[in-house]
Order: sequence, then C-alpha cells, then structure tokens
Amino acid sequence: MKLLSFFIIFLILAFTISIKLLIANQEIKIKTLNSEIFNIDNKIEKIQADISYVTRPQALKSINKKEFNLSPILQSDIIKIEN
Amino acid sequence: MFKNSDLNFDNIKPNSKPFSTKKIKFSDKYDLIENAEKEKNINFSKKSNFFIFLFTVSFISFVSFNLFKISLKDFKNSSASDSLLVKKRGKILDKNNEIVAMSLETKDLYIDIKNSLNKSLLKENLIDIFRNKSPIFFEKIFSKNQYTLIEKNLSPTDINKLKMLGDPAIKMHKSNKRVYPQHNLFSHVTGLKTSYLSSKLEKNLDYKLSQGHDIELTLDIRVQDIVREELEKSLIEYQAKSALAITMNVKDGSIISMVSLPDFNPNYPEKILPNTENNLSTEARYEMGSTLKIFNAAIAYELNSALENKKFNISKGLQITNDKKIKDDHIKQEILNFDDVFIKSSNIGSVMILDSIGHQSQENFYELVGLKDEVEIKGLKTVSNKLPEKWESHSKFISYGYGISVSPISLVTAFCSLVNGGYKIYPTLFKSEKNKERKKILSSNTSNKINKLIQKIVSEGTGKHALVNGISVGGKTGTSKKAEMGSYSEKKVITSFIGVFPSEKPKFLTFVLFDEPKSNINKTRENTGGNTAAPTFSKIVKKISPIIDNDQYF
Repeated sequence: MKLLSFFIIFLILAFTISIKLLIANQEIKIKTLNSEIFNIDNKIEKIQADISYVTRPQALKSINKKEFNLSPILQSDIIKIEN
Repeated sequence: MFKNSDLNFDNIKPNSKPFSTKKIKFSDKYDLIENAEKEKNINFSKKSNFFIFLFTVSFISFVSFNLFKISLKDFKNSSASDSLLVKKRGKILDKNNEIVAMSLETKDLYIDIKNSLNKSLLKENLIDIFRNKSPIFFEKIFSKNQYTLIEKNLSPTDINKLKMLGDPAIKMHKSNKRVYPQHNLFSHVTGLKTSYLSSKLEKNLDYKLSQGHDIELTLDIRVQDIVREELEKSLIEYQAKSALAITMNVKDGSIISMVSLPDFNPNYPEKILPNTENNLSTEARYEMGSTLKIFNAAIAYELNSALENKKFNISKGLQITNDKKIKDDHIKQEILNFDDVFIKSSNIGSVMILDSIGHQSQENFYELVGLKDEVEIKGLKTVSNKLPEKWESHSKFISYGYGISVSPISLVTAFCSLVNGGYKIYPTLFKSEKNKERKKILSSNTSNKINKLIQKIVSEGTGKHALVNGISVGGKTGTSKKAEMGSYSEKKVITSFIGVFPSEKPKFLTFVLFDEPKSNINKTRENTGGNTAAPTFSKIVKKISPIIDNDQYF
C-alpha cells in the first residue's frame, strides 16, 4: 500500500513536471519561430529599403527622362464634372 | 517455528528396499523438509522484496529529484533567447506609408589582436580593405594588443573580403544602421540618428521610435519632392542665400510639405555643413514685410469699421516718427480705396488703417490669431516670435510688417485662421494629431472677405505672377529690407508670398520665402516678393494641386 501511494505520488509529480517540460518545450519552439520571423522581417525590410531607394522621386524622374518622357498632369488638364 | 535441529531420522522412513546401498529413498512423513524449504523461500522472498522496494524507492526518488531539477531550469536563457528579438527602432513613414527613415541590420568589425594568426599580414589586409582609414590608425591598434572596434556598419563587400581573410582575430557583431532612402528630401524634418548624434524628429521622438513604434507623418513625398525641386531651381535662379516653403491643409493644420534650403543628406552625417542644419520654417524668424498687412484688413473686417469705404491719400508720404517718413514710390495712384491698399501693397495706407483701428485692437488681434505666442510643433524645435517691448511705439511699423519678427510656421498658422472660416488650428506633422475640434476665433464674414481680397491681390495686384492656370489662387506678397548692424540694408531683402488654393474656399496654403534673392543683371526683374516668391508659388501649385486637391482620385 505504501509502495502504491508512493507510486501514485510519483506519477502525479512526473505528470506535473512533464506538463511543465512540455510547455517549456513549446515556448522554445515559439521563440525559435519568432527569431525566424525576425530574420525574415529583416530581409523584407532590406528589400523595402531597396525599393524605397530605387523608387524615390528623383530616381523615377531620371528613369522617366531617359525612357518615357512623360509629363506630369497639371491642374489645367483636369476637368471636374459636377453632378 | 520449525528448526533444523528438530530434524532426526526417527521421522524418516525408507520407502523401499531397506538394504540396498545404492539407492535409499526417504519419505518426508511430516513435511518437515518441505516446510523448511518453504520457510527458506519465504525468508528469501522477504529479503528480495525489501531490496526491490529499496531499489524502486531509490530509483523513483532519483528520477523525481532529476525531474524536479529539470523543472527548475530557466528556459528563458535557452538558445532562442529574447536577446535575438531586440526591438528595432521604428520607421518614419510619409502620408502614403512611403519609407522616410528606417533601421537596417548591419555588422560592426572588431579585432581581437591576441588571437591573430599573423598580425602583420592581418594589418596589411585591413589597411587594404579600409582605405579611408590611415595606416597610422592600424599601427596604433595593433601596438595595443586589445579587443578593438575597427569599423561600424560594414558593407556587404567588406564583410565578404573579411571572411575571405579567415583570421580568427576578426570578430563581427550585429549592429543597426539608420538609413534615409529619400536622401535630402526630409532632412529638416526627420533630422538624423547615429550612435553619437541625433536631431529633430529622431531626437525628440526617440522615446517612441526606440520602443519600435512607427511614426506616420502628414508629409506627402510627392508634394515634398515637387516643392523642393521648384524651390531649389528658384534658389539658384535668384541666387538667394536660403529659401523655405511650407504647404499646409488650412482646415486640419496638417503640414503636407516643409522644405528648407540648403539642406543635407542624413545618410552622411560627416558631410553636413554647419549652415545647412537649421529648419528655417520653424527655427528662424523674419520681419515679413507686406505679408503681414493682410492682418490689418482682417482687423478692420472683424471690427465692422467703416474703413472699407474710406479713401486714402498716399501722394505726400507719411511722417510716422520724428525721423521716419514713408513713401509708396511703387504706386502711381494718389488716392487708394480700402482694397487698393492691399492690392497695391501700400505702406502708407496700412499705417492709416492702423491709425483708425488703434494699436490696442492690433495687439489684441495678433494675440487672438496666435502671433504673440510660440507655435509648437511636436517633434520639432521652434523659435518664439520677437515682439516689441512696447507695442504702442511699434504698432505703425508692425502694420506694414516691420518691428516684429515672426517664424514662418507662426505666420502660416495665423494666416490659416483668416482663410479657413475663422477657426484656430494647430500645425501638426502627425497623421494621428490632425485638428478635430476647432475653435472659432473669427467670423465667417471676415474670412470670406479676406478670401476675396487675396484673390484680387493675385488677379489685379502685386501677386500676378502667382496665377495658376486651372485653379483660382489668392495670396499676399511681401518684401522687407534685412536688418543689419542696427539699420536696414538697401540691397539685402527677404521676399515672400503666402497663398491659398482654391481661393473661393481655400483648402491648402503654400508659403514661399527667399532670403537675399538678387535682381537679375538687367534689373528687368526686381528682387521683390511678387517677382521671386510669387512665381515660385505658381510653379509649385501648378504641379501639386492636381495631387493634393484631387487626392481621392490618385
């Protein structure tokens, strides 16, 4: 009987600890995923910075001058149609 | 209990062939031997059980102890620790979420000289890679034998070159670099941030940015670029010392563009010149000249005075102090009506109007529209307006824009109240802080009359060069002599134009100012507000009005 009760206590203890270990393990997984997300975010931000630099107004103007020669829309080009 | 000593042959009887010597079999008549065996087994079992129990308890205790020990382990210090997830500095974004400033992960180079395989070879290679650093710098570092920072924010090319060296002394640490993809465009708003230097928004909103929060501005990159481009062209054309332009929504106080020239590239802090650092829109103040005259008209309208029907004789000039007489040589007419005073920009007419309305009304009005207060813009440093110690003795000068120095942002804020229906607004650079509840400080009637008057100034008066094809504009020109060594310079001037569009019901305001513009060589173009700031206003509005006035379509 003593052994049985001791065994039951042991089981409860082992169960509780195993849950804690399980949670800890999941937390580690989440943190690993977060760090992966963080690294991907870094890569995305580098690309965003590149896009932002390449598409800055001055760069677009020089592309337009070389390739397309488009003119900006002026206020006089716009007609407003009232209801 | 049965004992071994109790065993004797009396209890044992051979079961067959009693005289055979080969095989004698005994029968355990009273089960003595069996019982003895059983007893022996029981004892053995008891002992075994005790040892099994002891072993099991020891094992369980051992396992339990270890489990408990594991459960106490701090998993926060595991390999995927939070240190990897350090909060990155927030971005600064424009109205349309275009990136104005952001942080990028880079690497810094450190050298642990003690671990070097070949110090002299490493030194030579580093001198070759970092040619911007002098060899003496490396000589000093290698003589100390310490762990030393060599270069911050390495370029990808440099990282590859260093990896190729394969020396264990080379250590690279993760670092962050602030980058400004738009270069000079927003320099006077964002300022800059390095490990040793920060300014403007980067400095004043550091608490928010360093927590990883993004900041969304009301500035529009498209408008900002057009304004800067046109202002720079004009700055070169008029050979001005500096220039500034502000575009603002008159109803909610949101600043759409704020340009101050000369400016700087925040990506290269070491190349910033001292005279380019100040945002002239908020950190400088000027005697604005005739641009302030429009406030006389507003006072007269607000007081419902009969001045609107009065005639003003400006032919003989006006003695305003014992030693100061003013003349309007640029006006050919002798008699001006109320509107003409502003359309032709008459100094004499402005003083005459002031004489009629009184200096106290003027002072009260300046206080009402906020010209006596320091305008504050969150995130930017502002200067307070320089007011006269005794208003009464300066009120005549103030009526035509002298004797009071105001910051451009203060002027545009006050002017907004004149044209937006009479509501007080507070300028802001942040999307989240647009003026929602507005306080009415002037009558709608005054505002409507001002809008009609400034439209006339552009269509008939000094602001003709501000006209824009396709949209109605209104505004006021200003030219003032610069104060120098206690007197006013005859050559150096400040020219400005403050205008709104569309003028029937203004939505936007643009203010342009040039410091010390020059007349052209033939003197066919005088360096006045009407000839410098007004045409620049026109060029700017021609290009930005299709964007901001029809923003819902783009």
